[in-house]
Amino acid sequence: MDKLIFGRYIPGTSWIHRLDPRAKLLATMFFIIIIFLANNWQTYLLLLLFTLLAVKLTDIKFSFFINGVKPMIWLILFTVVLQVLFTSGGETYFQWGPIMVTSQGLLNGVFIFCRFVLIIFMSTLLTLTTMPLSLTDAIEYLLRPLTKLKVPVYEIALMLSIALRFVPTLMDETEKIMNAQRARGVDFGEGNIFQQMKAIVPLLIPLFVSSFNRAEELATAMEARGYQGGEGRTKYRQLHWQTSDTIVMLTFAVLTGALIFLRN
Amino acid sequence: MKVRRSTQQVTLSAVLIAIGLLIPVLSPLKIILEPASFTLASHVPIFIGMFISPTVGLAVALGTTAGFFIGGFPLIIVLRAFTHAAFAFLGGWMLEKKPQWIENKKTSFLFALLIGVVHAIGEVAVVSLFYFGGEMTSAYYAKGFLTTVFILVGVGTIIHSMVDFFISQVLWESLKKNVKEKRDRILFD
Repeated sequence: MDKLIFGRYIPGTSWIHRLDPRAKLLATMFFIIIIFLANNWQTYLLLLLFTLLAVKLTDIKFSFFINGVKPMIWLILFTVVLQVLFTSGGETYFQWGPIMVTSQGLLNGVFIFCRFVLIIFMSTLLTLTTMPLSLTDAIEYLLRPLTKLKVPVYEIALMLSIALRFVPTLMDETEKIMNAQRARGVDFGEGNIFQQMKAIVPLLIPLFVSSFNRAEELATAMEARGYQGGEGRTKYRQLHWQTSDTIVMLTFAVLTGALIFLRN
Repeated sequence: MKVRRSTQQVTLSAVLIAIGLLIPVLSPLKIILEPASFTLASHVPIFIGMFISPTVGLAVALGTTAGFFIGGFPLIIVLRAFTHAAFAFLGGWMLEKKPQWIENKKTSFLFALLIGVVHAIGEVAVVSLFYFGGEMTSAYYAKGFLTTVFILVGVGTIIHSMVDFFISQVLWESLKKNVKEKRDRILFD
């Protein structure tokens, strides 16, 4: 469970670390959209090289990115296997009823795998190189126009920041509770749906109770430190858009143009 | 007092969002009906948020959507999570007006069914978009729209939603005392 790196920042001084969080957030969102333009070897290769270059620029060990993929690997493989077994087209290597392995299916499987992995790498890159608080500042900034519609943007950003901070803590807590319940004989994932429902309740109750207590303590601590909501609140950390951030956005524009040019 | 309410809503929503992000990744209880799969209890944090208030329910639904996006989950999962905002707010609003709807078995079942239908409409709408956009896996197309999207995703979501609702209710009974004190402070301070 420690392998899941959701919301875990790795301090550093790389070029990517120093980028404005708004630029990184916009770039990640943009990447997730333009990846759907890729539909052949050339476009996926271009995106792969681009992602590897970005990963290299972070100065973070590659294993951290692999760890980001691991929790999702079964979901990815499940999707890839379905894609491989049920896609027709091209040369058929194996067929048994509706199940078949074709050249088109294998190609689609590789493409789907690349798509999943590249998206996870990019979003892992965002969370590894950006402090959750900076990420929250960026989300808050990008959502700011919604304040005119009376959307509580500051509270939303703070909520997200606390949630991301709590994910690793709650994960460790979940692991402890699961081990404790296993030691008492609870068998997760065994039996029919009713038995599974019964098995999950002893896991959820302590998790929710301890989480609610944490929320209460956190609210008290925030108020003790003078928290009075977002209105009129000043910021210790100011965001600064620099030339390097503009370069990143221009690079993404060029990448989009290249993908449109290379796709079938 | 208004500040206390706001702070508690923020922190409660935040921990529910964190749990909402964890369950789909860590849950050992997945029911697979190919090509769809259902993670047991994945909606529990949203239902608990809904039981607290419509605002908390909505915040948890939108927060988990943003969390899935930041976490790099596929777009279809992010959009399906976004549709949860509708049933979370509607359910919370209805319970705020008539909390007795979840106090006996018959009305609870009907309420869970109604929420399940609203939930399913959202999920089917998103999956249909991807289905007709050619973005689903071939297994979806092999079995056709009616079987995969309408029956597996639509009916499957209603059942999944109701199962999670009943898990949430059992949980809520246990949490009530703890949460009710907090909720009373949040709502009436």
